This record gives sequence, C-alpha cells and structure tokens, in this order.
Amino acid sequence: MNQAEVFEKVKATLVDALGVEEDEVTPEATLTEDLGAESIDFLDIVFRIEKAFNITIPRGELFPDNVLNNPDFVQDGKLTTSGLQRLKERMPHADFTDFEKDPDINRMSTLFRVQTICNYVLTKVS
Amino acid sequence: MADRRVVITGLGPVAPSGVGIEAFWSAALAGRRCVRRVEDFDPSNFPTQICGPLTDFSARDFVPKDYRKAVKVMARDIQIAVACADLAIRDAGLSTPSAPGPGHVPDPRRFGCNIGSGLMCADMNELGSALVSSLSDGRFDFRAWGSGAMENLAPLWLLKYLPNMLACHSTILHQCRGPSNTIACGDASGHLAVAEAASWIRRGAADVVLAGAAESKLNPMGLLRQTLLGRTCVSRNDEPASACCPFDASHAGTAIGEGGGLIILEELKHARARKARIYAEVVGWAAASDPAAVDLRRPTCGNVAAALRRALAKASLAPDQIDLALPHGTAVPAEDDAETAAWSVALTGRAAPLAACTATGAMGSLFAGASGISTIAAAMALHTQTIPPTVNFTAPAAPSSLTFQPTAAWTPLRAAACASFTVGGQSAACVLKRYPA
Repeated sequence: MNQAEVFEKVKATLVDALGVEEDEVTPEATLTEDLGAESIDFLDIVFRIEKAFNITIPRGELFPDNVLNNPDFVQDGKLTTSGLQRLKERMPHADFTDFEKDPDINRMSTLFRVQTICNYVLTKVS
Repeated sequence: MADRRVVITGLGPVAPSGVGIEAFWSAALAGRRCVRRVEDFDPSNFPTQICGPLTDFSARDFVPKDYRKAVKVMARDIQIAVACADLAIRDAGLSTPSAPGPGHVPDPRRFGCNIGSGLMCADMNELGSALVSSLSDGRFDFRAWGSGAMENLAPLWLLKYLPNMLACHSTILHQCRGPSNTIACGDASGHLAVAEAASWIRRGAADVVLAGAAESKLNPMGLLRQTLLGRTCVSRNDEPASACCPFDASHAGTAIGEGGGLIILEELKHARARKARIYAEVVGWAAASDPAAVDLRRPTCGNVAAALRRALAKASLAPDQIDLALPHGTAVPAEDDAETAAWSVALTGRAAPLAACTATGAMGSLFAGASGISTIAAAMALHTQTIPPTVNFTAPAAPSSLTFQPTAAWTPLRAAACASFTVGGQSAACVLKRYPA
C-alpha cells in the first residue's frame, strides 16, 4: 500500500470519526485544533484505523501516554531534553521539526497531524 | 403556584410525512400516505416488508458544525430528537447557542428538558461483527463474547444507544440547565414526558421546557421484535400505502416507522411577556397501567380509560367538553379493539360521538415518537380549528364512540385529548385546550 492509498483511507476514517468534510483533512491538519478531536475521539480513531487497515495498534503506540505525567520529562510546562528524547523514540512517525523549537506541552497538538497517522500506518502495513 | 398555566409555543415534528411544522401539517391535512417497502435493508426474509421511513433526513443539518462529529454517536432515535429540538426551539422564536436568532434567550437555569425514548435498536453492522466473533461451533459463547465484544465494538458504542442521550445532546446543544429527565416507557413516553414537564412549569421548577419523544424502529432488530410479537401486518406487502388501517374493519397489524415530536412548553405569563405565539394550553395529564399486560397473549391498552378519565378530571373538563380525540391507534386488531372500548368508557356520559384522528395509517407506528407527534397534531388542530383526515379508514372494526373523517374538516374545537399505551401495559393521556379559549 502506497502513501496516497494510506492517506485516502485515513482521510475517510477521520471524516467518519470526526464528522469533518473531506477537504478539511489535509496531511498538515492537526487533529485537535484543525479537525476538532477531543481526548475521547483518539480512542475512536485508533479503533477505526485498526479496522480500516486490519492492523493492531498497541495502547500508547500511535498516541503515546505516560509521558506528560512523568516529572523527569516535564518541567515548568515544557518537555525536558530527556522528555523530548523519549517522545521522539516513542513517536518515530511524528515530525518534531516545529515542536522542538519550543517544546511547550500546550503545543503538543502540532505533533498529532493527519500525516502522523499516515506515517504510523505505513510502518505497520509495509 | 396555582396560577401558573402551561402553554405550547413551539412545535418540532420529524415524521415520514414531513420535517418541521409546515411540511408536517400540510401533509397531515392532505392525508399523505408514507408507508412503503423497506429500502434501508433487505426485508425479503421478513413476513412484513413495509415501513414508514424518514426521507432525506440528516441530523447534521440540525447541529452546529463543531458538533457534527457527535452525530456518529447518535442512534437514529437520538438524531431524530436532536432535529426535533432544533425545530421546536426555532418555531417557538427562542434563541439558543445551537439555534441562534433574534428571539428571546431563555434563562438556562429555568429551561428544562424531558424527552421520552423507546427501545433503541443496535446497528446490525456494528453488532454483527462482535456477535460473529463470539460464535463457538456455530453457537453463541458468552466467554468469547467478553473479548469479542471488546475487540469489535467501537469504544464509543454504548454512548450511541443510551436512552438519556436524546435529552443529553438536546440539553448540551441548547443550554438547558433546568430540570432534565428521560422517560423510557415505550409508546407512552412522549405523553408522560409532556405531563412531567407541564408539572414542572406548574409548580414553578421551570419556565420553559423542551418535551416530547422520538424513536426509530426502522432497523432489522426493530422489525424482528415487532414480528415476533405478532404486531405487524404481514398480508399487504404489495400495497404498503394502504396496509396500516387503525380502527378500520380491515385492520391487520401495524407497520414500523420512525419519527418524533418535541414541543416547547412555557409558563403562560412568560410566553405572553415575550409575545410568543401560543398554539394551545396543556390543561390535563395522567398515567395509568394494567398489570394484566404481563400476559402478552392478551393485548391490553394499558388501562388507557383510566388515564383519560384522570386527565379529564385534572383538566376539570367533562367528556362532552372535548371536541377531538387523538387515540394511539396501532392497527393491531386486538389493541385497536381494547382501545376503542377504553375510549367508550372514558367518554361515558357524552351524548354524541367524538371526532377523532390518528396518523398511524399514514406513516406507520412511530412508537415512542407517536405520542410526541399526536401532541403536536392536537396543538395544531386546536390552533387552526381543523381536524386532519385519518387515512385508510372506511368502516369501524367495532362499535365505537369515535368517528374518523376521510378529509380535513374545519370545525370549532374547544379541547382535544390524546392517549398512548405500551405493549407492556402502561398508558398516558394529555388534554389540550384552545388558547385563548
């Protein structure tokens, strides 16, 4: 399955999961700010992606948990160097270029883009 | 609070015949018939293959853009209620966050919600894969169901089928922060919801309440359940539009349908202060039950005679002060006969037959939604002084104190009584009065 095919399927999944229009689902769109996802929607997105691609997504792999609640990784509302390092290891499918300029946890949504899901799915199906 | 009166200022019907009060009422007066062959799924293995469906209906049209993703966690019943709420609020000239307009903004703390719901049907496509994964040697295996259901049902699955979600979404969308309740009492739910809402207003707990009910049986599971109960018409798949004939000599069972109706109930002074259009006054309401209904082989009408008599007593109206009856009219022969007898008992002392109408023949049974729709029809009948026709009625199945007309009739109407009942033996009645009298 190539990148374009994965994107089309991810797009259809997000249209269903988030009730958005097709043209809103661009690779750069962030799930929370641009597409309106809330925390409970991430559960639903994971389930739908699993069904759409017939893959299994272990908990915390696509959308990591247990990073923000570790005081070694977060200080003063920003990811520490080790926190950033850990997150990068956990999310090889995310693009950190923008985020690491200012690793404020309020900007973490910039890591969760449509392309992030596509990259992850590509590692799973190929 | 004895001086607090309850009036209806907004009507939100979503019915096979029409969405919104204008479309609904013009179809009702024209006697438009909406029962047709089931198209939403293949009905060919069912003995009954007809239904009253909503056409071109999408709940997305009735919620703000940022709320559209919630539609995926709304079963059809919830979607119908959300649409009804939007329509009723706009029709009442109220302005809310989800239905903004130039009209009056109700005080959220004094704005209540009471919506009846029925037995919601799970989507077979969703439940099917979980069931298939739980089979062991072709038989359902409860141990396999534990993991099978977890792996195959969407995480938000349950939210889609909770009966209180009709009120939940409506209250969130329209910022109702007053009393809120859900009544899950089958077909009687809508009248019971209106009754409780009217009580809130009368005793001062709220000034404005969104009330009524919605349900969809248009689902393989819904059709299956009604088929197993022996309530559907199996003999007229070739002539769906004339298949469902409540109270007629040829009645032979019901057709499943979908729809609902929510209304805005408002305290009279509150309504007058904002110069609201008043459709009718709600003056009486009551509930009753019949324990004999536990035996499903002996259909009852939930002692609807008692519900009607109590509602009339609460309204301080004698049977001859009522000019229109809106019976439930399921078109299931034994239920029709029981209901016909009940109306005769309730109307004891009345000299002349009572004009009546029911929408079941035109659109099939809307179950919980039917009691919302009949309240709306009663309000419109009083407001316009018009009795809508009852389609598919030619001659009464049994001697009756009710008379049904083949065409719309303009006539003075002082008060109307609506009734509903469940297969399980509950019933409810509401009495509406013309306003001003």
